Amino acid sequence: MSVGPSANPVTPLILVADDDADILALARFGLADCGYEVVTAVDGQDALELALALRPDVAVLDVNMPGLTGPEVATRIRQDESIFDTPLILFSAAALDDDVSRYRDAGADQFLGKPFQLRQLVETVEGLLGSAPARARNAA
Amino acid sequence: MDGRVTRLNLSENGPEGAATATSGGGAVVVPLPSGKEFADRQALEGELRSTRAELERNAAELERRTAELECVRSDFEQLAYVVSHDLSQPLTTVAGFAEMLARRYRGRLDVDADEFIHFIVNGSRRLQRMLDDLMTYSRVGSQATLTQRVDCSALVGNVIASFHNSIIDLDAKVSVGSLPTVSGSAEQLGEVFRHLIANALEYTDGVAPRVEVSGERDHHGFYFAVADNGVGIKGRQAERIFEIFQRLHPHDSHTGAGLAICKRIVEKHGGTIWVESRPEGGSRFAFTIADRESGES
Repeated sequence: MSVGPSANPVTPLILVADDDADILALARFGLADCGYEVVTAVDGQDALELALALRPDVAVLDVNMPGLTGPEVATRIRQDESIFDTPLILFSAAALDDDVSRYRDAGADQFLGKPFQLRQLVETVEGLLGSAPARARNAA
Repeated sequence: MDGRVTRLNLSENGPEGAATATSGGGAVVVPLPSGKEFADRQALEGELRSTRAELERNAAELERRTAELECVRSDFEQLAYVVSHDLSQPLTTVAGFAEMLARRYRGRLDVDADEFIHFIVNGSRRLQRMLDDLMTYSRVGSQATLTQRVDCSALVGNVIASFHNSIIDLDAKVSVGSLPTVSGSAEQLGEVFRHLIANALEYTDGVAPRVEVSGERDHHGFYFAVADNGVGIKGRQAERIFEIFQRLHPHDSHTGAGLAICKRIVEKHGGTIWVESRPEGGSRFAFTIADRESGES
């Protein structure tokens, strides 16, 4: 796991989980560039633990990860009363309409097809954050 | 004579050659073909048999080649899809970091560095557009439902409405004749009209664009044309422009896939597309669409 440059508690915290190191780096730097604090995970279990520990303002989860898949992490997040309302983005390559509706059933608020442009990720995160204030959370 | 034949004598020795059928009531003499006629008929029958066998062989060969071609086409679509999709992934990373470099470091390095970054950003954006277009091109065959009833007047009306601002800015005039309703994919045919009209508005050599969209049904199917008063298309260019990534105007921002996509869509609709120069200047892009409802093409 790695944390972006800002440690300001009012800065929204974004959790990004993907087993592709390039995509993870792009998301981490790109979101940090837009002023977000970013925490990253390389598998589903890691992502779930970070979500429980840090209560991110948005979680961005790859569908196909080793250990727990993105939809499985989403389901667990929705079942946990301390983080059930976390806005969730799932992303995946070559998803069919049926897959996307399955991801929504698992609890995803938004879906992004891979490959995505950095701008699309930032806009989707911004859309979910809306004007909601960053969550109060314990410092990581 | 009860009609039952009890004995049949065949003779080719007589001057006329005859068959004698004997039944209870008497004999009936039926003339037989002469030896030469018999041989001619046998030769003809032999010829017919061998022609039929050859036809059957040709039909089988055609069937085999069609299946082979279909296989190649499907392999190509699959390859193009995989190439465009899988190459996009690392490109996204390159483009994303190049854009971050540009944003964070523009003006903080030297002039050369700014220019290099500019080339990386532009090159990766262009490559991304080409891969997107290749993906669209590869999906033309597999994605569309070709059985919608498409009211082309309404379809072209919507396309023109989407160009509203450009039409005003360019002082363009776009006229549309009465267009038929066809059977096909509204989305794909809309893409063909959108592309042809966009080209007609864009390549004008500075004069106010005049675009005419027409269409009709004839006994072959449907015929449509988009004519303009633009720069026109000369000689061999007319063949090249329907090939993917061929650009007549290398300095514009297009990838050169649009007309190749149009060609593929039109062919999927059982038609052909071509361009001709107009004597009064400008060009006319024309295409046909098969009449699927009456079974003609």
